[in-house]
Amino acid sequence: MADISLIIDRLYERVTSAIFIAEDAEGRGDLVGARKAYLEVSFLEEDIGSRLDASDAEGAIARRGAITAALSADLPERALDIVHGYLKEELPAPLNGQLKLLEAEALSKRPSSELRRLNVRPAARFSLDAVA
Amino acid sequence: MKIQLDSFTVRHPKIPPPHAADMVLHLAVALERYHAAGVHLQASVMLETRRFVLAWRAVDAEAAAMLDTNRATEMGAESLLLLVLHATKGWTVRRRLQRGAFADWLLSSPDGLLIALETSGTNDGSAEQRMKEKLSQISGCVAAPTRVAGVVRFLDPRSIVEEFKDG
Repeated sequence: MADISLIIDRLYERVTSAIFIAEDAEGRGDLVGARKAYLEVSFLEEDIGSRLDASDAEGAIARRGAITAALSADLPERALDIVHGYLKEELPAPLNGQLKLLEAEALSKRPSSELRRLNVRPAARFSLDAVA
Repeated sequence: MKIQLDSFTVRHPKIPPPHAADMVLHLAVALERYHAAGVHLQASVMLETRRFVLAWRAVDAEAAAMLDTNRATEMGAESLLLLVLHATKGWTVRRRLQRGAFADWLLSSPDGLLIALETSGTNDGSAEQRMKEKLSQISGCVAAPTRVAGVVRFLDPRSIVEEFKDG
């Protein structure tokens, strides 16, 4: 089994790279590219967080990071899933408070329940008559 | 003491090589707007002042023209501050932090302490004013017990690093 510090080092290189890619895409106005990169950041932070205790400073950074990256990826539902999982852990009080603030932010960005239930069916834009 | 910009990857091996090379390129471009290799940098790190000679290979003019001016200043400042903090304190990069963390980098000291670093650069603006803004920003950072802000003013060139302390 590989040394945990080596695994974390490799994950840190990957998350550093993914953050750079996301920032670069944002700088170029490539919102789709930025969201994709932030989703990768969120996955990596989640992985790092799963390997470090919540009471560890770097474990706390990763937990907050998994949620903020999901929000940057415009995925508030994912952010809520992650934060609800973390809030079930035994957390230091400051981290618990920070995660609750992020939960509130994710809730505020979540589409309304009506929108979430909405079943979008694109209508045909052309008819055979129009083509003929 | 001399700082060779090419030593960046050795000083901060945890920054993936393509990004490290990009950072060094941006720094060289930001410096070459005003200076040639061999320029003296005045570096103030937590009230201790040091002078460094900065050395780098000349940048290809076409490559330099491709870079965004503001990005060269910002990324160049980050790179220079990381070089200075390694040369003076032995601090190395552990990982990059996301925007919401109120700091750009998580560093570690030789004895394993964690440091959050927020950086900024200006070509000819007020470094002191920028430092006030950056200290205010890093006050919101909870990533590490030690929080420092760094600013580079390329015209002189000089760099300042200050620690934020509560109260």
